[in-house]
Amino acid sequence: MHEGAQGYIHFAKSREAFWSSFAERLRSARAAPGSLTFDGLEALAVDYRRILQDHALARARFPGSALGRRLEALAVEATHLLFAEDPKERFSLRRFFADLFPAAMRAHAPHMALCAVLFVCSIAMAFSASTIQPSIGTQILGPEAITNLERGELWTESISRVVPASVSSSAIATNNMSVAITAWVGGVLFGLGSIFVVLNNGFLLGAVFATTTRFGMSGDLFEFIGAHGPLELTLILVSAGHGLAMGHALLAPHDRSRQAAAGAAARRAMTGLVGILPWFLVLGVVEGFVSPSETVDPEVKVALGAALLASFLLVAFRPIARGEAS
Amino acid sequence: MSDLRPETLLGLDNVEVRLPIAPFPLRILASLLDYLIFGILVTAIMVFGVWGVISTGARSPWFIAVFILGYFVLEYGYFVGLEIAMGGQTPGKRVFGLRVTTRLGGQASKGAILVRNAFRSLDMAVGVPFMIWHPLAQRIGDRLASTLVLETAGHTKEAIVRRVPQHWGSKEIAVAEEFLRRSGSMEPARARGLAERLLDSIGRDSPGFLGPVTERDPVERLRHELGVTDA
Repeated sequence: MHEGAQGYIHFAKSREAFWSSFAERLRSARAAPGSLTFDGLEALAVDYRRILQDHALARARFPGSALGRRLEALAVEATHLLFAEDPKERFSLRRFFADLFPAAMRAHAPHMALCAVLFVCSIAMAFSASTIQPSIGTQILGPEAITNLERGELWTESISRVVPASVSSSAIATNNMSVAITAWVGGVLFGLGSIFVVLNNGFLLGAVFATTTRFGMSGDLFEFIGAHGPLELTLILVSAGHGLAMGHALLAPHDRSRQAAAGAAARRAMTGLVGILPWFLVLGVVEGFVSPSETVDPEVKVALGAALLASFLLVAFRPIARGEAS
Repeated sequence: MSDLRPETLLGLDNVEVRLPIAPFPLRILASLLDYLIFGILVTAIMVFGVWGVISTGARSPWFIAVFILGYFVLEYGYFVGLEIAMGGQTPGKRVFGLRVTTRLGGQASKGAILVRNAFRSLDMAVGVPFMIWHPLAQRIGDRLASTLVLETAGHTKEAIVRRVPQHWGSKEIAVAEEFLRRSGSMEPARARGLAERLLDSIGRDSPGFLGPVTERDPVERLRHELGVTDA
């Protein structure tokens, strides 16, 4: 008999019981990971090495054989079961808000600051342009809102009379979260998507303020956004800042590959995004129930807005250990 | 030392293992199945919302509020939640034998799964060309999360021969096993024809190896003569 064929048949016959047992233990461990004892895991890890060696032998001596493919499949299955990413990443709510989220916020703070500058510039530009050319504000708000303003009424009042607070609350929360996610995801387009969201929101806000000022109703608008506006705009800028950090990593990866640099920035940015999303639920409730309410004093709304913003900033920029910051 | 291909990882003792990268058509099919399930779930909560509004005589808007929030949670949470809960799989991926892993074939962390799915909306627009052109079929989310989508083991059965003619070497074994593995998905007439040619070749070169004809189907007879077991 040919040496190769003889070796193949002998190899399969002598190792079959071991391979079948290994495959069975892999199946059991995957079906009920909790039932895997330390000894069982250790035995699997030791046998994994033997599987890799058998695979190397099969690949070298019997290329293209079914045994080689079977052993490769076993090796891939075992690799997935036995190797996990950094176990420190196992989720802990306390660790997330105490360390990871503030670390991500600090790491991308310069990008958030840049977003804030762009936002302010965009507001100023839109305010000036809409003051000089009032049709800009009319185009943005629509003729119905302008009619309301002429009657001395903000467009938000008519909406809050028609739409129940619970519905507007959930719709506002989910819409704001979608905007934040868009600003974040847009960062991967070399930061352009994030910058667009910032400039667009700034432009809308500036134009709306210019229009309400023209009708002498900017005070009413301030009162309406007093409770939710500061934090809402901050969160949009924060998510855009995280997106911009991803874009920055793509543009300037330094000594790493573009993919590695952007990947590291994306993970940190994801921590930042996850950290801000729960705040949008709080904001949804405030914007749906408190902001349109005529029974809540304007001073209370402004105080609530300041308190919300301060709470967020305290959580987001709490002092952290040096190791986490790095 | 051989040049490593992108889909090859170096395991313990520097043993090369080729990662079975999932082909993009399979990933698209898995996604379509998942979006079908997603659509059914959305319809379910929509029916719940409408039923709530009707049954309360349109007095309670909370059902609409729950629908809006529920839709949002499903939209962003379906893939993330299931991939975390099912070890890198969703129902669609499980049906088509796919799994999300790290770049080195290990279990992807929750963070990585969050990152890869955060870019799903962007990948819906531009992900397919990325998957086609990239040697590891990584879409944007996969690249940023350093994840791969692999085919899981056990999705295809291997036919291993246990008895071979004397003159055969490893090449002949590989050809026979490859044919028997694929014979199930081949056109039956073509599979039978190839099996007959293999049997003729064996009978000509190794007289006495083949036993009496007990199987009518040449493919089954070839399996029987070569002592094939599926693994």
